[in-house]
Amino acid sequence: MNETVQEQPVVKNQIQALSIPLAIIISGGLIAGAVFFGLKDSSTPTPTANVPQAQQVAEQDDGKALENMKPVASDDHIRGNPDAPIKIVEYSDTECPFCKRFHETMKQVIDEYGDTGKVAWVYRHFPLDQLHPKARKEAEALECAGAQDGNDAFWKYTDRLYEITPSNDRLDPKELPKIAQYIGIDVTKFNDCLSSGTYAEHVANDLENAVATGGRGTPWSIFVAPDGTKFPINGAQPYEAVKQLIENGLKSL
Amino acid sequence: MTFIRRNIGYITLALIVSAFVLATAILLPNGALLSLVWTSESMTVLGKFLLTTSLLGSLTTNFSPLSALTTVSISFLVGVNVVLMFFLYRRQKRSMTRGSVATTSLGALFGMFSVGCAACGSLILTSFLGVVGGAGILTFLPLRGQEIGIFGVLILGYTTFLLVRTITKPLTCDTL
Repeated sequence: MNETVQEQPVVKNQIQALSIPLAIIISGGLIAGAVFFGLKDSSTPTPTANVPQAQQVAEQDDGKALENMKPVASDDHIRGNPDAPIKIVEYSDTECPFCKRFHETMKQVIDEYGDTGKVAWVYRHFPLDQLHPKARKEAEALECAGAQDGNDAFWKYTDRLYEITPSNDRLDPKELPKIAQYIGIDVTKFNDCLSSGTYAEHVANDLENAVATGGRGTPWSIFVAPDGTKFPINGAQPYEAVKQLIENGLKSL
Repeated sequence: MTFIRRNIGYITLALIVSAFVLATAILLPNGALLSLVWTSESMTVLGKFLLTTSLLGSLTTNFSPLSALTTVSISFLVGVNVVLMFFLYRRQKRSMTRGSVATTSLGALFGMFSVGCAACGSLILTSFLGVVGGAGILTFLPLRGQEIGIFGVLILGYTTFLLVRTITKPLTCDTL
């Protein structure tokens, strides 16, 4: 009789005692699985394969990864004064919902600081193929628009694409020529450019540079202060945070 | 009202711990920026402080609604768990809280791993997995890694339940 009375608390205590190790085993399994698949994935050739991972990590540890940023040049897409003392170099993925949000933040930055020539916005590509397979072609579409009618066409196309995309790889590729038509560039030339893959290498180079600077997700931006010091901005940070960085930078002028 | 007045110390402690965990979770993705800013000589202390507080606004811009919800929930539950453990320790002064400490830490760890932009691969978790290759694992998950945050909430909810049950249990000498 006594045995049956004591049996219940024994089982209860055993379950309670097992809950913690069980949780640890599950978490360990999850993390081990993630590491396993992560390493497996990174061993497949990707556009970033030219930059060894260990080297990247070492560089990031030293805080030098940001210095790998390709210098801003005339072939970059710049909004605002190209000689502005402050430059914000954004590496973006057109299908990332947070990039869409940060695009609006950056437009607000340029509205406030662009006209006075204090801040320049540099746009580069960082399509995350594994999450948004359509983003790479869209990045090429941006370049094709720019190739046809210069910097203005590039930015008009970019603004329109971010405006209409539902994000997360849900933009119908048929919309790409429609955007070209909407901004008033030659659709036939645009389609030829897009299908030829003329800018595939350009996009791949941008992506590689983003990774080399320490970018791990999008939007990834590098704030270049007037004295050349670089600060990383990870994700869609609020306008107030970007403004604060700018104000701090302008004080040193 | 009397309950609040009687337990004002515990409530304050819970709020402080929750706020600390929430702030850490929000600022974690920009740890590199903050370390550069706070070691920079060209910025005033006020400027550094204002930048740090402005980054807290990223809870509304850099999180999906689900990840914001799990992050806030985890922060709140960690605060509650810490206070319950503290109460239990003061009342019983024995090592029975050891298991709860481990489980709470585990729940908080899951919460921290789920911080960031799951849809874009800037989760803290991906930092440990390598760059774009690491984000690949998340594509296999229906919620793109936000499952980890939900798991964290469940663990912390369970720990809270265990602690409350222990506290409300009459003080007896258990044979087992």
